[in-house]
Parts: sequence; structure tokens; C-alpha cells
Amino acid sequence: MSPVANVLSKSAGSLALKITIIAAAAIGGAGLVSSNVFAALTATASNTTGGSVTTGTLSLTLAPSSVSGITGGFTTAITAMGPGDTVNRYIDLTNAGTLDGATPTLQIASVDSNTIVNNPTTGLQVSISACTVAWTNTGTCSGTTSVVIASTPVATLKSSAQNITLPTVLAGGLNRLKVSMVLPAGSENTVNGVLPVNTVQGLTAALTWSFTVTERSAVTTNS
Amino acid sequence: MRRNRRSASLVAAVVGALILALTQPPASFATTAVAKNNTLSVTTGSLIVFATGAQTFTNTGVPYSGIIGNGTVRTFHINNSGTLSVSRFTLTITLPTNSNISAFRRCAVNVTFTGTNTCASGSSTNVTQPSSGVATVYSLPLPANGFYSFQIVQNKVGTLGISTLVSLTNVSGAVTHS
Repeated sequence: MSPVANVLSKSAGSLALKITIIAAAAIGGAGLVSSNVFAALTATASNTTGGSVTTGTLSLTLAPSSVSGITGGFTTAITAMGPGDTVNRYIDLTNAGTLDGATPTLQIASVDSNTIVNNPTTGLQVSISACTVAWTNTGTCSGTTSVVIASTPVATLKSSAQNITLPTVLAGGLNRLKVSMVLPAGSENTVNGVLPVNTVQGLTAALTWSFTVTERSAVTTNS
Repeated sequence: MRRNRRSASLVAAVVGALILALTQPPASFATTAVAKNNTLSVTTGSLIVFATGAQTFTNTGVPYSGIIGNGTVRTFHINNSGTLSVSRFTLTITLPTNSNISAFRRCAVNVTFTGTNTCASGSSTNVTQPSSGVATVYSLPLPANGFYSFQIVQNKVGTLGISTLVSLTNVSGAVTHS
């Protein structure tokens, strides 16, 4: 590089350095100024007490009847049920939450797979009725009865949840239910001690009953 | 160059969709409450009726077959090892050819013969004499884990065969509250 070119190059580098320094100083200065410019007075109004927001609860509980003689509920096993037999169990189903429920359903689950729970014709049938007062231990209702669900095979209740009609799904509401389980009369023949194929005899099924309600529709209130 | 632009557009679209998905509010869902029991065990009963020589509740699963003599008493039993009671049962008794029955009797339910025409308790009762090979209905209530003891006397030497049949149509249903 010639001496002239060398001098010109140094001049150019010095100029770029100066411009960079000035720009940085300008940006920093602007930042300092702007932080002071946007400071403003504020005013706040707030309540002193109250203002509490509490969410509701949706809770369904299941308990056997407390009436003496019919306390078997869904816990005491049913044994040696014969075709044509009806076993009635008495249940108190309560919405123990603070929210009203809606769209009640019933579904039965079973880990067993046999005629009791799979055959809609010869298998177990379920119907439920409700009483406005406690059921007696002979299965009578001195109040008003209503049908919660008409006779339905366990096979159907196992395959999908079925809608039921409860007397009340309101918060705190109590439903006194009579659950009737019927094994339809059969015509099977036992020959020389040998049960027929696909028999309904001598079987066991463990049933889990699930009553479900969904939350009532959301509401908008102005208060 | 054009391929690079397309790739960049694709990446931008994917990133955009991802950002939108992540920033969307959660879908609304209804609160549900479920009440369920542990498990309710349901067991069905059974009718298991069969014939044997000596009384037993061990199911043979086959018809009874035994030697029978001329004029000698042969005792056999109809057993129910099931858990259901039945109001009647059918017996098909096969006898030697041209056999004539001179006696056919039973003791009360759950009472065995201890000797010829001698019941362990009470006295014997004559019952309808069957025709060989013909199904005959005996209207005798046979409880779960119950039996009847029979004695037969006939006049030929040969084989006595006894086949049983019971039907659920003869089981009475019951309504219980528990």
C-alpha cells in the first residue's frame, strides 16, 4: 500500500469509530430520557372486605338403605339366584355437592364375561324405582313411586351408560331407590348332572354400578 | 432458490399452527360426579341331579348302570348336588327284557334305606312303577343338597340303567328384599 492510501484508510477508520460512539451515546441518552417521560401518577380503588369467590361442588354418594332388614345394598353378595328369582336391594343416592346435577346415567361394569352379564335374554335384568319416602323392608312405598329405569338387561347396561330418571338431581337431593335384579325364568334341562352349554346356572359375576350426573348448565348471573 | 422459499413457507406455516394450538384456551368440558360401589357379586344357582348306587353328592355326570338280579332288591339314589330346589324330576329306567317290577318304593327325602323296605327313619312309600325305557316324571320336591333313596325289585337278571332329567321350568322363583 502506498503512503497516501495508508493515510486515507486510517482516516476512514477513525471516522467510522466516531460515528459509532455518537450513535451509542444518542441511544443511551434517549433511553434515559424516555424512562422519565413515561412515569405517571396512578390511582387505585379496591374493596376492603368480601369479594370472595367460591366454586361449587358436584358430588354423588351411594349408600345402602338404613332401614333394618334391607341394608344389603350393593355390597352383600347375592348367592344361588335361581331363574325366576327377584332380588331387591335398596340404595340411597344423594347429590352431596352444592351444584345441581343433570343428565343422570347408570352403567354397570364387570370383569366377568358370562351369560349373567352378556346375554340380554337369559342374563340378569335390572329395573329401578324410586320412592319419595323410605322403602319398607317388605319393599313397599307409602309415598309416591316413580320409574328410574325400566327393566334393562345387564348386558345393555354393560355396553353403554343408560339414561335414568331420578326424582331429584338438585344439590342435597336424596333418591331412595329400589334396585330389582331379576334372573328370567329358564327352561334349561340338566341331564344326568350335566349342565347345558351356555348355561346360566352356577355362574358368578361381580358388578360395579356407576351412577353419574353431569353439572347443570352454566348460568350467567347479574348481581 | 424456489425450493428454499417453499421450504421456508412450510416451516413458517407449521410453526404458526403450533403457536396457535398452544395458545388456544382449553376446550370446555362438563364436570361429572360418579357414585359407584365396590362390587356386587351375583351367583346363580344350579340344578345338578344324577343317579348313583350309593348315596353321594359327587356328580358322576353319567347315567347310573348296575347289575340287577331276579327277585333281589336293588337300591339306588337320586341326588341333587346343586344349589336350587326342584319340584319334580324325570327318571328313565331301563330294565332287562320282559322284566316285571314287583316293588318300587322310596324313603322320605334325605333318608336312606338301611335294609329291605327299611328306611333309616320313617317308613317307605310306594311310587309309580316305570315302564322300561320310558321317561317317567316323579313329582317329588328335591331340595338343594338333597336326595331320595329308592328300592326296586323285578324278576330278571340283567342291567339296571337310570337316567335323570331336571328342568329349570320346575324351579320356583322367589322375591327377596335384602
